[in-house]
Amino acid sequence: MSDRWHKVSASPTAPEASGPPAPMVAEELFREAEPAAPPNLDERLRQAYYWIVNRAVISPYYDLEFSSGAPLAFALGDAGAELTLPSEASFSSNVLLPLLTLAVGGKCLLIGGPGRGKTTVAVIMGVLAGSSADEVRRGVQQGQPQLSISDLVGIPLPRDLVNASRLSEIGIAWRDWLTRPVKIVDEYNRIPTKTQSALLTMVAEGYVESHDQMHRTNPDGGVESWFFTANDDSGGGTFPVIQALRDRMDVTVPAAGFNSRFFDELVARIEAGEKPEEHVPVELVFTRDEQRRMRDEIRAVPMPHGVRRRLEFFFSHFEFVQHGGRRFEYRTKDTVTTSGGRVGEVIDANSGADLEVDLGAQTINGLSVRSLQTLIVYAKAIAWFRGRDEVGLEDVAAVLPFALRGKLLPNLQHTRFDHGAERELATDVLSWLGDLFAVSCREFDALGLTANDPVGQLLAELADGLDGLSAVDASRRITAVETQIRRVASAGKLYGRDFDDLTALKYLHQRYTAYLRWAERAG
Amino acid sequence: MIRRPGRLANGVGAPVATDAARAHAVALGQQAGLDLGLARANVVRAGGDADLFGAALAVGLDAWSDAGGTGAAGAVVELAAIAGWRAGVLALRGDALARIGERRFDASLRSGVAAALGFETGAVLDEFLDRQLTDRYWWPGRHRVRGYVAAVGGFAGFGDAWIAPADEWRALPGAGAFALHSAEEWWRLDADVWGTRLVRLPAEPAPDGGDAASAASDAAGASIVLRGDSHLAWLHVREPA
Repeated sequence: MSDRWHKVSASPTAPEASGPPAPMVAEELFREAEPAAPPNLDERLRQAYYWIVNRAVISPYYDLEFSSGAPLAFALGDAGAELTLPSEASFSSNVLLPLLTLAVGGKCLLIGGPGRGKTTVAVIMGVLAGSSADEVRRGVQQGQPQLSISDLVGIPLPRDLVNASRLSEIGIAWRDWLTRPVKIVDEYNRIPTKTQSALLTMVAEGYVESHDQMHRTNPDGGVESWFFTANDDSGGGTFPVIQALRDRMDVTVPAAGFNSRFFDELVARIEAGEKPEEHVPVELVFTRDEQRRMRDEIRAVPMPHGVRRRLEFFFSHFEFVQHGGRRFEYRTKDTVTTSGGRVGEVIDANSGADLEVDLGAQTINGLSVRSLQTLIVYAKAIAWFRGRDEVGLEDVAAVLPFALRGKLLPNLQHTRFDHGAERELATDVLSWLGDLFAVSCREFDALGLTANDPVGQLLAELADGLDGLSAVDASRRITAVETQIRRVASAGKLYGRDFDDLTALKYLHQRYTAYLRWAERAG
Repeated sequence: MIRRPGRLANGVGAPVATDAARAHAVALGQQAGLDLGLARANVVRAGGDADLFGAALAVGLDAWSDAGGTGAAGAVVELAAIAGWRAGVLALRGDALARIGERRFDASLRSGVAAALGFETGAVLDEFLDRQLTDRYWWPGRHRVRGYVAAVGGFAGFGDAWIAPADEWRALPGAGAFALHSAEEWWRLDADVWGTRLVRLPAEPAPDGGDAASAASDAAGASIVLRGDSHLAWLHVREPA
């Protein structure tokens, strides 16, 4: 019987443009082609991706779009629907994001109704990391209301419980799944809160504790990735997910529905009694060492200054809220939230800015450092996966909605979510986040910040060091800092982007005045 | 009917081999110690059509045998060059033409070459070779299809190259080379009578690509015909009135 599963895309999966065909002679037709060097790891990961979408998970969705220039767009129906045909290789988020999670050693939350292939995708990731399908399936932790910490981590040996005179003498029979490179927790929103806390320690700290014994979840220091599934991402489920655990999810990916046009494939699988995870081609499996190398290569992909600058600008919108506090530094959404206030109401009370154009007014929180780190890692990962030498803005735009979903929360009181077609964005959080970044980039261009970034220049001057700086020059820089503060003050309105600039200017002022005092004392 | 990319010379007049001829070719290959299966795989790797290669080689070897040819090893390699080129491997064009030129007056091989290219007589082969010197897109039936040589591109939804009809083209330096613009992207087309190759270009080619080298493609009078309502771009050569 032919193995219909064993078909791996031919390399290269992302061909480069070339010149005229290189001449050849007939004798070459009868020679074995030069044994191809083993494909690079990025090529292997692309082959794994194409194997999954073409063979394993029936997913004809291409929601991660890449185009050079504007894609061909078709307006459909009379309610604003639009279908776009991207001009470059585009991808299914519900397959690619889990695959990138495997590559970077991240944590992926797969959400969606029952029977949408969430667990299947996670199990395939486990097989790609070197375990057999049976091992991976046995290691899947099924969330349920009676799941105890012992169920999750293992039990103390009864003999030791009787004989031990102190806790350190009690041996623990740890569960095998704890040290697997890919860990899968199904329906994590059905796990009791106490057990979730134990899970949090594993996810956040990489170890688990029982009876004073500690067990590392990643003993060889290799790449470890986590996959969680949930039917609900808005607080539903048997137990609410504790915020700290929810915040550990690097990316949140909705599972795609089944496309009825692929019904025949479904019938064929039932008739053959086959499961895709049992047919992963062996050449697609990554060794522990290859997983390490893959992670290192991804981390090494550079993120150029232009991209970093636009990301800085994007992040700057969200922390500040006018009337959030009295002291300038405390005018943040965190101040409001941690004192039990409602950020939406505080935003509404702000008459000092145009809330329609203030991107910060669309969210009820700012971004955590962890979210920013996640975004950087996944942007590097997708650039690497696409065979790019450095991270492009399109890479950031592609992963940003999945990395910030559940972390940057919409302010549903904002007028944006209250009228016309924009109401759709209240439920389609991914599109809203994508749009937020696009608008931020347009604003960045409109303000001319690529060519003119005075605060950035002042920070760069400081980064060059203070050695040898004369008192006169330090004074001149202090004046430049004050000039910039006056420039913002004269605008009348205050936005999040100004908040970060002003905070940075105050920092510069502190550094230079302290230096000046020292220089004057030193004579 | 939805039209797909293809070469018009592969319609009526393309070599068709019987099962007996194919089996004979395999036997000759084995006799010569040459793996025809490997050759087919390499033809596909180089952008050619495996079935057409198999048919062209089989009829060529059949005709060569009928004409009393001897020395299977040499004949299989010689005719594989012709069959590979006929099957669309552009990279074999130079090798195939050189081999035909050198062995033009070897009667048995000449029969094999004519058959592999789908020509009924050696006289047609002579005209073909003469015309190829100045017109790389010529084959005997071209006038019957009003000078059209090949259709390239095609709609991405059917597994072809483009998501939008091409809207601009220009000649590139080098014979048989063109640039085509579709959906904000530039593509390079290399073509001759039997084969085409379309690859994405990293950037827009220089608009003044019409230097001395590109005159070779202009010499044949080749141009690209674009239509706003089709994802195909047609390579066309103006036939003399």
